[in-house]
Order: sequence, then C-alpha cells, then structure tokens
Amino acid sequence: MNERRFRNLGEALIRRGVAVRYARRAEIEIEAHHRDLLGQALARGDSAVEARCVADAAIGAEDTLIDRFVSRKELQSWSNRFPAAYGFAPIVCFAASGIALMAGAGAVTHAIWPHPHDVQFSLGLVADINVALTALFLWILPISLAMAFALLAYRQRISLRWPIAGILLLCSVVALVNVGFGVKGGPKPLFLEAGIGFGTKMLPQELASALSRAVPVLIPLVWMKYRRSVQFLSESKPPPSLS
Amino acid sequence: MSERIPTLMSGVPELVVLRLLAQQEMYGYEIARALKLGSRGALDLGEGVLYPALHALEARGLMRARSQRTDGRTRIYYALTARGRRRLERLIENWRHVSAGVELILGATNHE
Repeated sequence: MNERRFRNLGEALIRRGVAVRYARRAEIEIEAHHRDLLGQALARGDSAVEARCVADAAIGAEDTLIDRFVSRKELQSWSNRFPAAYGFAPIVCFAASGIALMAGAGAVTHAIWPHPHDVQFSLGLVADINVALTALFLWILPISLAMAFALLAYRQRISLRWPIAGILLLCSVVALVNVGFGVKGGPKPLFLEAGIGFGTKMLPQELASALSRAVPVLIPLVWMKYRRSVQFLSESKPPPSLS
Repeated sequence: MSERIPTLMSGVPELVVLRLLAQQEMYGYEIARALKLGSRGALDLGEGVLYPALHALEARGLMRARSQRTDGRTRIYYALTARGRRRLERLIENWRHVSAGVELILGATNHE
C-alpha cells in the first residue's frame, strides 16, 4: 500500500457509501498507522523494503479494509441509505424556506410599520420591491438550494439520478410560481403574496424558465462528477512495475 | 500460533477497546499496540478490524473522537463517553457471567 492509495482509500470508501467524515478520518488514521508501523520496523533494524512489507501486511489488502468499513451499517451515509431524499428534499426545503422568508418579511414589515393603513408607498418603490422579491424567491433562493444539494451530492459521490430529478423538480415548480408585493388602495394594508399557477399556453416559457435555473447548476455538477471519476479511476490503477 | 475462531471473538473488540479507553484517551496505533502487548499477543485485532470498530463505536455514541496535530501528523484520539462507560460495565458483567459458565462446563468435562 503506497501513499497514493491512502488518498484513494477515502475516495473509495465514499464511493461505497461510507459517510464522508468516517472516510476522511480512516484515510488519515490508516496513513498515520502505516507510518508508525514503518517507524517501528525500521527501529527494530529492518531494511526499508522489509519495513514497508511488514507495514503493508499489517494494514492488509485495501479491498478487505474497504469491505470491513462498508459492512458497518453505522458508518453508512444517510444519502446512501436514502438516496431518494435527493429527489424531494430540494422542493421541501424551498417550500419551507419560502414560507419562513415570507413570515420573516411580514414580521419585519409589521415591526417597521405597525399601522400599515397610514403608509404611503410610491408606485416606483412597490415595483422595486416586487423585482427584489421576484429575484429572491424565484431565482436566488431556488438556485442557491439547487447548488447546495448539487454540492452535497457531489461531496457524497452518489449517483446523480436522484439529485438531477430533485433539481429539475424544484426548478419546474419554481417556474410555475409567482410572488407579489403591493399596497391596496384606501384603508387596506400592505400585502405580500405568493401563488402557483399552471397553464398550457405558457408551457414553452415556463419550460425555458425552469431550464434557465436548472442548467447552470446541472452542467457544472455533471462535469465535476465526470472529472472526479476519471481522476479516481486513473489514480486507482496500480503503479507501473519497476522491473 | 493458536487458531483464531471468529465466532468466539464476536463482541470482544468492543469490550477490550472500551476497557482500554476507560483508562485514558488513545489513538488507533496506541490501541492496537496496547491490545497486543496487554493480551500477550492473544488479541491481535488487526488494523482492518480496529478502525471500522472504532468508528462504529463513535457513531453509536460510546466514544468521542478529537483530532490533534503532533509532530507534523494528525492523530485522532478516542475517549469514552458516559454512555460508553455504562455500556462497558454491562459488557464486563455479561462477559464474566458467560466466561464463568464456560469455565464450569470446561471444568466439568475435564473431570469426566
């Protein structure tokens, strides 16, 4: 087992479903253990080659080591146990954070203007707030969530099937959502509202809107995953024989 | 070298590792050496068994891990939690109960 193998050990463990924290820790610990064994053998008077053989034999074959980690259910990542969560978690998180943001905005508005009946808003300000809310709810929030789940999926090296489905679902639903902020005339107060609508007439625009959110997240995700897989496979190849 | 029978070793790594860590916090290599030396070679768990076992015990909340950088290398030290101590007490009790029973059987069959 050489040093390059230790770097790949963590990667191999993550790919087999071991949680990232345990995989990275195993990499550090087993490399340190190997060094300690080498030091012990050298101190005993073994040659460098003998010492390395002793240390390698004590650590054992990489495949066996990986199998032993993988066989421990406690060490499996949640994404490996419940990969379908990636299909639904983005939309659930979007709904939860959208509701929380609206509630927060309502609370702040109430704190600033406890008597909204008396507030005078110019049409220009209302239009600016609408643009800001649209950008926040329909672009910044969903794209940030999609990126967060994409990074999480990449970090855990899981199959991209569920994350892609989840991101596409999120972006499709967001494309159908609209939010609005306004001031109703007379004694009626400020309002903040969100709605979801679906119409076949607007389908091409909604599809384009969904893709404009999903594609900038999915292309880097697929590319990063592909690059990492190529790198892993090239590093996993045994080093060329010296003979 | 005596033959190692895996079924007889079931539960032993957990017991002995918890027992060692009840005395002081240790890192993996220290634990492996302490087990080997302390048991006079009878318990040589092997690194491939030790680390998955340590991580699983931590995942179950029986021990906690902390990393410390010493002499340019990172060591992960393990220490027992309160839950780990309670688990150790139960394991020791069970072990003594079972081993006393096994001794009785072995003693009885020797006298036949």
